[in-house]
Amino acid sequence: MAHDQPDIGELIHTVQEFLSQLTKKLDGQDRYYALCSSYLLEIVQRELTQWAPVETDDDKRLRSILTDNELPRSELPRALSEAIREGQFDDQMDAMLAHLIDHVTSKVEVTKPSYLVDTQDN
Amino acid sequence: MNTMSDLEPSDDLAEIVRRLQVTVRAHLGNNIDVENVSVATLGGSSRTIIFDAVQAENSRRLVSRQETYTLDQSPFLAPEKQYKLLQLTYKYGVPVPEPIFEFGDGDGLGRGHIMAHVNGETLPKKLLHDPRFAAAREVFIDQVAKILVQIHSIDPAEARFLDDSLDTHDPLGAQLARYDYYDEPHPALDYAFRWLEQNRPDATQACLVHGDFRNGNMIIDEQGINALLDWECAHIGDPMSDLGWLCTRSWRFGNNQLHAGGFATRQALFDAYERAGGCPVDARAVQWWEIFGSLRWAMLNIMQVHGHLHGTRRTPAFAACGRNTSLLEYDLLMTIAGRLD
Repeated sequence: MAHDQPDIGELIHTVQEFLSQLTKKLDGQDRYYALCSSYLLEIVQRELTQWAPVETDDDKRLRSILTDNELPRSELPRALSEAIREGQFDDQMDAMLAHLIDHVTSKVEVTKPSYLVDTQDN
Repeated sequence: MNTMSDLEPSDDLAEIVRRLQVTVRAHLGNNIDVENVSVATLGGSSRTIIFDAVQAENSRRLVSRQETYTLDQSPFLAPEKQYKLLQLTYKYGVPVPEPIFEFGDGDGLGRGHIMAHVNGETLPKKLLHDPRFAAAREVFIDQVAKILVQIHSIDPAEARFLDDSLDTHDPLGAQLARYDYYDEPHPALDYAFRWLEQNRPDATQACLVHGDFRNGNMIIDEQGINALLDWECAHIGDPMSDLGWLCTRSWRFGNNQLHAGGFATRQALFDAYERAGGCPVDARAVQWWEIFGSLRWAMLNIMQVHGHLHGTRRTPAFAACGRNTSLLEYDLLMTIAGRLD
C-alpha cells in the first residue's frame, strides 16, 4: 500500500461518496447496478482494513536507506524526508537520487504505469 | 434581515444571476438585462459565469469571476490584487480581458469582478493538435515572447501591491512553507528542495512575472493568442521563472520534444524572447525553474488533496490530484538526473 494521500481507504471512500450522489439521479437497472457497486466497494473497504498492511518492496527500500528496522512502516517517508532535509545525505546526493527514482517509479507503477512508458520516449 | 450592506454570498445560481442583474445595472446602466447565462466549470476556487449584458439593440458578452473558496496558506492572490493586475497589464497593452468593474460589499457576490469575454479556445490538447489552430501554432512562440517581454518590462514600482507576496520575497521558501503546512512527507520532494537550494541560480533582475504562464491559461483562436488569463500567481521575481514554467514538462501535454508548452523547442523560445527585446536568456536558470516548476505543481496537487481530506470541498478530481503527485516527483527527479529533457 502506498503512503501517498489519499490512502487506499480514502480513495475508496471518495468513489463511494460520488457513487451515492450519482445513484440518487439514476433509476431502473442503472440504479440497481450503482447500488451493487457501492456494496462491492464496501466489501473491498472492509477486506483492506481487516487485513494487516503488508510491508512492500518499496517500504523495504526506504528501510534500507534509513538503516532502520524498528520504525513502523507508516513512519518511513517522514523519517527519510527529515533526514534529507537535515542534510544527512548531502555527501551522497547522487546515490540518494538513484534510490529515490526507484522509490518514485514504484509509486508511478501504481498510480499510472503508462506514464513510465510514455516518458521512455522522452 | 439582510440589508444591502451585509448580503451574504449565495450558492444558488438563480439568486446569483438575480444579484448579477442588479449589480450590472448599478454599474453599467439601468436598462441592461443579463441574458444567455452559462456557468463555466473551470477553476477550483472561483466561479466563472458568462453572460450577455443586453441594452436595447446592443449586447456585450461579459464574464463574472467570484471567489468561492479561500484556502489557508493559499498560494493565490486576493481577488482585489488580481483585478489591479488586470487593470495594470491592460493599460500597457498586454492581451488580457478588459477589466469592467469589481464587486462591492453590498452586491452579495463575494469578492470578484466583471471582465470582458474573449472568444477562443483554452483546452491545451485541442490547441496542440486540432488542424483548426495550425496557423495559430505557427505564430505562437513569437506571440508568447512578445507578451512575456511586455509583462517583464512593466515597472515593478507600479505593482507595489505584490511586495508582500511570499513568492516575491522567496519563491523556494514560499513552496517550503506550503509543504510544511500540508504536512504530507514526500522524500523525493525534500530531495528536490535540497537540490534546488544547492543549485540556485544567481539572482537576476526583479520583474513583474505572470507566475502561471502556460498552455491552458491562454485564450487562442485561429489567428493566435487573444488573451492571457489567471493572474492569481503573479509576483515580482526572476523573468526566467516565466520561461521555465512554460517549459515545465506537465505543460507540454505529451509533446515532450517541444519544451515550450508543447508548441516549440526551448531554444526557439529563447531566440524569440531575445528577438522581442527581452533580457539575455540564462538557459541554466530556466532549467532550474523547470525543475522548480515540477516541484511547484506537485505542491499544488498536494494542496488539492489537503483540501479534499481536511477542508470542505471534496471531489474525485481532488483525490486524483493527490495521487498524481508521484508523476511530478518522477518528472523532477528524472530531470535532475539528466534522464529527461
